[in-house]
Amino acid sequence: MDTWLSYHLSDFMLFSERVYWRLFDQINSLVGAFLPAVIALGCLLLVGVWSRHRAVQIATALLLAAFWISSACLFLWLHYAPVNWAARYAVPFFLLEAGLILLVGINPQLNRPLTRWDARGSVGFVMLVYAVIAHPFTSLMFGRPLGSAEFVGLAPDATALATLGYALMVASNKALWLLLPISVIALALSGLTLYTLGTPEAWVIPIALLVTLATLFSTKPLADATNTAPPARP
Amino acid sequence: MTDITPTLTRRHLLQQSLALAGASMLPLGGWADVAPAVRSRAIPSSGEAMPIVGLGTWITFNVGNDTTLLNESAAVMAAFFEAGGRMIDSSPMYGSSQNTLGFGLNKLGESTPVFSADKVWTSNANNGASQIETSEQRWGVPRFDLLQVHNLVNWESHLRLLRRMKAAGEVRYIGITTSESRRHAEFENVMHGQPLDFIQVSYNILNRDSENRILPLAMDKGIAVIANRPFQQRRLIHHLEGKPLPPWAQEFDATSWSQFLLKYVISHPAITCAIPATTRVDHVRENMACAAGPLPDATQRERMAAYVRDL
Repeated sequence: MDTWLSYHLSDFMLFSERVYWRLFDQINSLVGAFLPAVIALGCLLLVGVWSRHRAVQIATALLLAAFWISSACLFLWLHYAPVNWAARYAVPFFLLEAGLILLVGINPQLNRPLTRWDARGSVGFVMLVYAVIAHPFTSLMFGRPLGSAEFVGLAPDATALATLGYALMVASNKALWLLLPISVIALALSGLTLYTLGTPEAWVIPIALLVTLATLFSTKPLADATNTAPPARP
Repeated sequence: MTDITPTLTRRHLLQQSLALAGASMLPLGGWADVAPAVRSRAIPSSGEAMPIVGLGTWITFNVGNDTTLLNESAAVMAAFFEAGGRMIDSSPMYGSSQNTLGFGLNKLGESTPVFSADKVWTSNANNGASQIETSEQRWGVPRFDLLQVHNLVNWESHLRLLRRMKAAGEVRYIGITTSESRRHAEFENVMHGQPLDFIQVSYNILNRDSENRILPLAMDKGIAVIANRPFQQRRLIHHLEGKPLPPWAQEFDATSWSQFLLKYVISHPAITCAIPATTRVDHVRENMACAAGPLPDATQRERMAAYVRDL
């Protein structure tokens, strides 16, 4: 134990910032011609979260769950694990998150009422829009080529940010405890990685996490069941 | 430790010029013929000459499956061998670095003059042998020249294994490493109590902890010393960028901060080989140039350390 305690975080950062961003280059190249389709599927999330149809709600959850699985396979397993051996240990948690999203998606009791633009829903939607549309362009803001852009469904950060948004919009109070922990931990670890690499984008993740937590603690708890009829007036 | 200084002949000069001018046209496998003479130091336990500048792989060679970066790493290795380098150091801890080395060695041909230095790094005593075997497969070498116990992890068990391997001819040299100054007391104890060919420590112009006890002890006991992190992962160079190189650096042919810093490290008489890591061919050539030129003496070294400390 003493030996392990003698290591610093930077001792485990065994790859350079350049190598890290090139991982996304490789994934985007691997997907190649299908990249527009992946982006389009990401945009479907933005529509699906507003739907009141059960089939669409389930399809949306299925899509987001599939994104976690594809991120685990393409990023963690195929590309990240060769440069960071710890990455493979995250794969089961990504698969678990996919399962939890499905569980919440198919169980109406774990959904919150989708009735209006309340604070939590609004913040959630903004987060989702950021993850799907704006986050990929942060690469350009910091002088990286668009080739290394992080897309929902391929890159874990974008996928986890989308999940924060999805959870804020869709999940009941109880279900938030199912959906948020893995996303928050994944983002926190990623933020720590970016911070240790010294990349300027490191600030994006803590802001997203702070916004999520601030939203949760500042908004009134909502009724847990969805599609419930309003109480009958006397 | 005595320098084995290069004797520059017309043949060497011609070969060096050709190597620099037409590196891309070099026939693969002809390293011994094109490598220039560089300053070497003898490994005390055998007398074998080792070029004083080697190549580290920490972070720089951990490039995963990226074909572009794999080829860049192979180019760095080619430039290293062309400039007369031999020792390359890696570890199972360094991500895909061992695979990258295997890729590079395979690409450059079997006749590379590589002195393969790797480590055993596992807390489970029973996994040492299999880890070494995996490392050999990744490098593509039948046996390592040097195996070290990484950061003293389970050093008692692993050193027993390495001693057995050395006796069986499965490795030529054995040693221990640490990158932590706070573990120097334990490190020193191992140096006192165990037969070692090599030690590896972090040593640079601002991290001089080894100078007090470790380096003198290594000289006293006839143990070769590998110095890692001569640039503190380039942090030293970033720190010094934009600051003027002192005019007296010309006295020992240091034309850049990296040469200034590297010459400080390799001029310590206990150092057998420094292993700066880089991803760039021009940097590896600049580093190797340090092995060919004059080095500062003890007085100049003190002046160098004081100058950098006061900046």
